[in-house]
Amino acid sequence: MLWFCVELPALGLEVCARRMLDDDRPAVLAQDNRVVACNTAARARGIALGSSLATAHSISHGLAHFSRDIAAERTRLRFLADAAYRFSATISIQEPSAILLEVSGSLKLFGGVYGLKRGLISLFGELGHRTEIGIAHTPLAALALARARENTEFPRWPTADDVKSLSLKSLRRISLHHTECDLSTVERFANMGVVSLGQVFGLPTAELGRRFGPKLLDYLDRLSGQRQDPRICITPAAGFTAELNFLQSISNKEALAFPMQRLAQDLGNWLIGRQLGVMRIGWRFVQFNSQATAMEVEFAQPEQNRQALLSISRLKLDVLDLPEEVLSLRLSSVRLAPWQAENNPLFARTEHAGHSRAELLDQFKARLGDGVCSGITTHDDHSPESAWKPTPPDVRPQRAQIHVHAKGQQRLLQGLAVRRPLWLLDAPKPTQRRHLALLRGPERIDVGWWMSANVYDPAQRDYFVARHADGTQCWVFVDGNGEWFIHGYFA
Amino acid sequence: MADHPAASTEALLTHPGLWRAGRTEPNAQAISTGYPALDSLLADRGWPKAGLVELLSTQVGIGELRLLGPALAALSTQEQRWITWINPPHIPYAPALTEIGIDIGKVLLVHPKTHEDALWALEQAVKSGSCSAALAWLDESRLVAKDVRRLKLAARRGESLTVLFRPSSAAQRQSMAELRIQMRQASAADRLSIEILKRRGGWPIQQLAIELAYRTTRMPRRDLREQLTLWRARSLRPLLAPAQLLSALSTQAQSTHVLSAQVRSANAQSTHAGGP
Repeated sequence: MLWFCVELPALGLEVCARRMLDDDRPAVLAQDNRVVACNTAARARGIALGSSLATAHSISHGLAHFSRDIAAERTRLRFLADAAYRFSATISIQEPSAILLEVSGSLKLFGGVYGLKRGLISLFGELGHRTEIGIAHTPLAALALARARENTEFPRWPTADDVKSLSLKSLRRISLHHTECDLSTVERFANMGVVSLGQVFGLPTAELGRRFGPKLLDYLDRLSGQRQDPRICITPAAGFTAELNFLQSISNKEALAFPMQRLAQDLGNWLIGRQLGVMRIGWRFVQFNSQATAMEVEFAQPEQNRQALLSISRLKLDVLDLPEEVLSLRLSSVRLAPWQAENNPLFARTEHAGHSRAELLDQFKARLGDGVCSGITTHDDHSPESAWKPTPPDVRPQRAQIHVHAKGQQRLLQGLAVRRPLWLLDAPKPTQRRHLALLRGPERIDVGWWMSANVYDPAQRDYFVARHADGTQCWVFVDGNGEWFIHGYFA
Repeated sequence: MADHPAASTEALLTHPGLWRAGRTEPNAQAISTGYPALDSLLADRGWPKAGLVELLSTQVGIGELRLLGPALAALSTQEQRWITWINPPHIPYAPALTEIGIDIGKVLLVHPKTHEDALWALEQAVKSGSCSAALAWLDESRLVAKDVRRLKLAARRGESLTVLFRPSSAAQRQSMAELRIQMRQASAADRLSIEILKRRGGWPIQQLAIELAYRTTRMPRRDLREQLTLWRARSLRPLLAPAQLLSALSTQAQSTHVLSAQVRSANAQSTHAGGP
C-alpha cells in the first residue's frame, strides 16, 4: 500500500478568494475578528497572522476579508477529489482539508513516486491551490507527514517494505502537534516530556492504554499500520456543476471572461479525470432578483479541451442578451459522451492542423445560430427537387464517399448518359422558348400528380439541356401547358 | 559568410518566398485546374492551394463551377478538410457534384444572415485551416479592399484555396487577390472565354477559350424538334379541366335543384382534392 495525502493548508482562504476577480488583491480569512490566513498580496503588505481585522484594514485599504465558508470548502474538496480521480481510483476525503489517494497501482503509469507527486502538485497548482504532500504506508501516516511537511526520501520505485520502514522512520521525527491527538493529550504528553511520535512509540503499550485510553492506542495502531484502516472511497459525480458568486456584480461581457475561464478550466479538468467529453454545456447568469439567463452551448463532437469550451462559449455570449448586472455564474454539463481522442498527423501539414472540422462547425453554430450550416447528400428519388437533401454536416471525416454514394439514381443517370445541372434553382424560373437553343433532350420526369398542388396539373415535365440567350447553359423543362421554365444551370 | 558570397546567394535563390521569372516547374503549393491550357498560364501550374482567387462574371451559371470542378474534386478526395460554400446563389446540386467527382461528404454550406456574418464566417473558415477550399459569394456593395486583404492573409495562414465570386464591375476595383479571372460567355456551348486580369509572375492574358468539363453531347437539331413535337403530342392531357367539367354539368342540370346541389358538392370535392 502506498498512500499519498494532499493537504491543502490554505483551502479556506483559497475557496473564498476564487470569488474575487483578480489575484493580486490582498485578502485575509478572519475568525473571531482575527486574521487566521492571508494571501501573498496581503503578506507582502505586512499583514501578520493573528492581528485584528481593524489593524489589517488600516494597513491595507483594498483588503478583502472573508469568514470561513465550511459548505463551500466541502464542495471544493469534493471537486478536487473528483479532479484527482485521474491519478487513482481509490480516493477518500479527509475533512477538513485533505485528500487521500492510494496509488500503488498508478506508479508505473505516472513515472514513479516523484512523477506522481509532480503531477499532483501541478494539477492542484493549476486549480489554484497550495499543497503539502505526504507519502506513507498508511493513510493516517501520510496525513500526519503532510501536515508536518516531512519530506521522506523514497526510491523512485519503492517496494512495500521500503515504504513501511522509511515512513516509520519519518514518523518518529514528527511532533505530536501534527497528529490527530487532541490538544489535551498532546499537553499531557508534553508534561511528561514526550513531544515526538518516536518517543510515544517507545513507551510500553499497556501503560499507554491505561493512562490515555483505548482510543489513542487504536489511533497509533492505525497510524503505524498494525491495524487495518478501511476508508470510504468517493464515487465520481455523474455530472459537473460549479458556481461562482462574485463579490461585486459584473456588468460587461469582457469582465465575465475571467470567471468563465475559471469554470471552464474546472470543467476541463473534471472531464479529463472522467475520460469524458461534453456534447452540450449550460451556463447560467444570475442577476440580483435571482432571475437567471441561461445559455446552452452545443458541440459537434465530445469536447474536452478547455480552450475550445471557452472560445465557443464566448462566441455564443457575444450574441446573447445579458441582464445588466450578473451576480453569480454557474456552469454545468448537460450532455456527456465518452471522449475519443482524434488522430492528428505526426507531421502537421499546416500550422493550424489541430483545428478540427468539428471546431469550425461549433464556431459557426455559436456565432451564427442553429440551422445556418448544413451538408448535402444525394437521395434516391426521381423528382429533381428531392434527389438531394440537406443533412447535418458530417463531422467524422470518412473515406471518399463517391463509391458509397453511387446509388441507384447515380447508376441510372450514368446509364442514360443524361446530365444534371450543378446549380439547382430553389424554384423553377419562367422563361420563353425563343431565348433557348435546345442542345439535348427530352428527358421526361413525372413528378407525380398526387404531390403537385393542383390535381389537374399534369406534373409531367420534359427536360432539356439548353443554351440561354444570356450565355448560360441551363436545364429547362416544358410543363403540360407548354410553358418553359429554367430549373438549373450547368455552371 | 563573408568569404563565400556565392553560398549566400545560393541560399537566397532557394528561399521559398523568392520567385524567379524563369521558374515554372509545378509547385506543391498549387492544385491543377484540370485544364492544361489554363495551368500553363498560372504561376504554379494551378490554383494556389493557399491563396485568394477572384472569379468575375456578369451572371451566375456561366460555367464557374465547371471551371473549378476538377480542382475541387481533387481536393475533396485528397484531403479530409471541408469545402465550404458561403452564401451560394443557388443550391449546389448533389447528384451533379458527385458526377464530377466531388466528395459531397466534405461539402459544408453556410448561409449567414448578414454581410458581416458572412465575412466573419469566410475568414474563420479559411483561417482555421480546416477547409481545403472556400467559395464565397459576398455583397459586392459592402466589400472593401481591406477585407479582401484580410481574406488573402487568412488564406495563406490556413492553407486554403479561397475563391471569391464577384460581378464583372469589380474588375475596375483594386484587389489584393493573387489571381483574378474574368469569365465571359463563349460563342459555343460548353465553352468559357476567360481573361486573366492579374496573375503572379506574368502579364495579364487577354483571351483564352476553355473547353469545359462535364460536357453535354449535342443532338442534331432536327432530331430534337421531331422528338419535341412527338412527345408533346402524345402527352396525356386531362380530358376535362375542372371549369369545363362544371359548365358541362350545369348545362345539363339547369332545371333541377337536385342536380345543381350535386354539382355544388362535386365542386366542393374538387376544390378539396385540389387543395394544397
